[in-house]
Amino acid sequence: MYNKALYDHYIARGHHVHRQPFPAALIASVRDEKLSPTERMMTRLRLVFDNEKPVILDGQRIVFLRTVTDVPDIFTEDEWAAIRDKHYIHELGYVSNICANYGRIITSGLEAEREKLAAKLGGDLTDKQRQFVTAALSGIDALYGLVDRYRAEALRIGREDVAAVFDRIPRQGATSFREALQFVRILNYTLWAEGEYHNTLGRFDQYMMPFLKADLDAGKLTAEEAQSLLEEFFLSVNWDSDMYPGVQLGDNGQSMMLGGVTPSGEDAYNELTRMCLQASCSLLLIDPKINLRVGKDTPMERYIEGTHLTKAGLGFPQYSNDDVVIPNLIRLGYAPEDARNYSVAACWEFIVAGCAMDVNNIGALSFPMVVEKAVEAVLPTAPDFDTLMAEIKKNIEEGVEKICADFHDLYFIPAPFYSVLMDDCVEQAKDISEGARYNNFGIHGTGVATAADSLAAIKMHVFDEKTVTGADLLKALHNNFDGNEALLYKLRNETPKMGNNDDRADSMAVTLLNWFADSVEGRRNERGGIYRVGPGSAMFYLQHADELTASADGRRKKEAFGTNFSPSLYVRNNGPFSVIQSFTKCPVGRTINGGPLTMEFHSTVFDTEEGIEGVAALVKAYIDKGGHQLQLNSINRERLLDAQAHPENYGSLIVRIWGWSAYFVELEKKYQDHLIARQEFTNY
Amino acid sequence: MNGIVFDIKEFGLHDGPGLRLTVFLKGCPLRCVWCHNPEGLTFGKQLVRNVDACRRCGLCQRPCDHAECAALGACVHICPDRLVRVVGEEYTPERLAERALSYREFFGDRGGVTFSGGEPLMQADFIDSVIPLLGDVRLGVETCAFVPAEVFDRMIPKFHDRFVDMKVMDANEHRRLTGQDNALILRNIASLKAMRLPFTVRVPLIPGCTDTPDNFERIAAFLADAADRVTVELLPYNRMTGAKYRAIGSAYNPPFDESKPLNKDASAFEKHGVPCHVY
Ligand code: SF4
Ligand code: SF4
Repeated sequence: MYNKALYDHYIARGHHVHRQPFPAALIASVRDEKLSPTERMMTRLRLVFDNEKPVILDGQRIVFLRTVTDVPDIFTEDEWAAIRDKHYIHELGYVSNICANYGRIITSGLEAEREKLAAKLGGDLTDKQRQFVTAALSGIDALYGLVDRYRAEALRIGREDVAAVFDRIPRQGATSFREALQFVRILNYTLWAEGEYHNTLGRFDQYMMPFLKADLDAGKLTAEEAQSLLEEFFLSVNWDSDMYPGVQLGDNGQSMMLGGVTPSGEDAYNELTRMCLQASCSLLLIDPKINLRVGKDTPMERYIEGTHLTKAGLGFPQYSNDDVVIPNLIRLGYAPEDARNYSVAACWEFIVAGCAMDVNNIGALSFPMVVEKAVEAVLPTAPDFDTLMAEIKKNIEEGVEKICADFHDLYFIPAPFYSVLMDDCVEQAKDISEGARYNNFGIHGTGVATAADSLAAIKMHVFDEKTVTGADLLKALHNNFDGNEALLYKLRNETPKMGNNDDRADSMAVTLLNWFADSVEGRRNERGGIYRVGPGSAMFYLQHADELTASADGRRKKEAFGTNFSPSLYVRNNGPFSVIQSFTKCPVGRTINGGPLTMEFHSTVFDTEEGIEGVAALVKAYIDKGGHQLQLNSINRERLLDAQAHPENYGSLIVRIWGWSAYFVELEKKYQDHLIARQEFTNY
Repeated sequence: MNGIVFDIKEFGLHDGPGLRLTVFLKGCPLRCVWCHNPEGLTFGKQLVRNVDACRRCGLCQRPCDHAECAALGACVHICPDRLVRVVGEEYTPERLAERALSYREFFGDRGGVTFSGGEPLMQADFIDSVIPLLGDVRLGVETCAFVPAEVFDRMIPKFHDRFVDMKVMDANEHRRLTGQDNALILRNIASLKAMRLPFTVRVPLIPGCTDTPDNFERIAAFLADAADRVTVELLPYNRMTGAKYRAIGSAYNPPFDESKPLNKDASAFEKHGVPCHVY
């Protein structure tokens, strides 16, 4: 490792001493009534940067630390309430969950963008455009100011090496691997400082490789030096991450996509891909969150490299299958070069850097709720199973219709600096918050296994074998199976389940997902984009489950769903082959918004080289069978239980939640308990 | 001829190369004091109850109308935590083959199906009727070799990956630790050597019982003349074994000190030129 002292400083959170709150006296100038939202964003970024204190830690090479905390919102509560009245607001209202075109900016430098913007000012612009251009220029200048103060600080403390990096960047393009790393750090840092969140890192191994290669070829860097710089960059995206918003600490969206193919379709896996996997393995930090693109031609060695990282227990890499994702993004209307260039949002939604302002988690349909409603409405009287299914189809259509109807007058808080890093915004003098080339909306579908199992149970027991009437089953559900243990047992343990390669359950999931995909077919959103659906759950695997009564699969009231695209939480499946069989029967290409099959393996599986090879072979089998996305976790239930009992001993224990990784002891107990309840596959 | 299966493990990693489906056939002629598969020892179906976890709610003791429960003395279709189970499921050759073949894509040409137990060769006729149904799937076997010589000699060449247990060479010790003499086992392994087929010998390392330098020396000497086609694997004792006994409601009182450090010194095998892996 590059610099143990610096790493330990981070682990001890020693850098927090430099933090100070945003000066209260300045809040009024951010929320000045005379300023438009764009101007407020511009003002706030400038004030944050003016108050930032340059801090260069001992031996630190990739610098920039957030020191200003408690940054105020740009609106007062009343103003925000008024905006919410008129508009649909997505999450916090700031631009989030998209990906900047880092590669273009670090290659050509911000001065090139500044010149384009300055030229715009001389031309014909609407007032709105003028405000945007002015704010974008101001953002760049605010960043220059902070960079210059960092440079001065470096010279003051005798760190000529740091100062030299800032001689070029960010004004000019990077000319070395180190400059390029520092440049990405600065840009990502500025996005967070501006107020955007879930700021992903994109296809890092692609846009960084030219800089690495040039340095290695010219003999300016050895492979070890490059690895050490890379690891320091990885560390750098962790310094401030506890300040970033998320459902839980760790849910900050700093994803990184590796491997895959180039925009023209060539193999894109390179030396830096391997180095990134290695860096993540040796640092054991929750950021960046590693994703790996693979396909039918991916050789076994790469899966083995990936599995060595899985063994580290961070829940990385998450795999996605180019052979499924790319053609289906094209089917949805993405240009082939853009589809081949896909990356991943905060968790697993597929996005494209620079040109997409997709809102890929705008809503979520609860499949078990769809089933519950149909069961309440028709089960006691339905003459046959098809009657129930017709009701379910109707509920899916109505549910999706209702979700879509909610999205009108979508408003995002402007993001002038982020816009500079996106394609076409500068040219069109248009803020990214108003849209980009792609403006598609994504809808999650949660709890598909719970819903499929419930339908399989109803078909078998109520309609085929007729061992219980619809009315009696409904009564038992209302009573949460109290006094009906034999029925509960039968539903829970002696009924087909998704994940056991049993068509009686799997076919229900296929039908549900097809109807879900059908429900958005031809539908356009108000930004001219389409709707995409996917089997991801995000936090809804707990929330949606809380809203339900008991379900016909034998799930008791309040029991959670599996996370994302997984078997029901309480089901103990036959094994990983069956799980893969079940889930690859589903029309995953039609539901390509993202949402991985998730499987947990006991950490001892990874103890031997045989185990590593076995897991790698399973991943390959899943991909070869046409699975779209896969999340594997190495977990150890005994250790998690011990960590609940003795959190003080487990400060650095990392676990994967639904699309991100976190420190176990910092999670709310309900998330901890869900992990403990998952089925871990073993090899004995 | 049907088989009695007590578990089917997808993704068994110690049961041969590649991705494996391991079929555990119920019933074993030995009674090793360390046995880690206590639910696989008897030949018929068997009721087990996890007494440790039982909340004594009494549900499984109430009369029920399932035909099979009457004979078992408890209802096996009601425990909310699934603590009462029947171990042992009857499979026709066709049903087992169908399930195995549904994973054909996972096996490729390295992986496949391994028969384990219990002692799988005690159900040789069942295996014999399954094999033709599996086509070109690679086959493995894990055997304790305590089966009739005729069965062993007839069956063993049918598998591609052969794992044979060797525990202790001393006949009295063998009788004390497994309940049976080892003459038949040694005869069968000698016969396997004579077939000139490659095989793997597994020695479970049981503290103070099988891991003695003397035992290693005698095993190594016995295998030396097959050194070009045998590999020895020394497998450390699984300390989780006790939990398995409790989960099926029986007690585990090993007559050796579980916490004693294992001897993993493989120099005896080296000396005899026998390849050896220590896990
Ligand atoms: S041979 Fe194997 S299954 Fe049989 S008693 Fe011994 S350890 Fe148990
Ligand atoms: S039903 Fe289960 S918990 Fe209740 S007494 Fe029987 S074994 Fe124990």
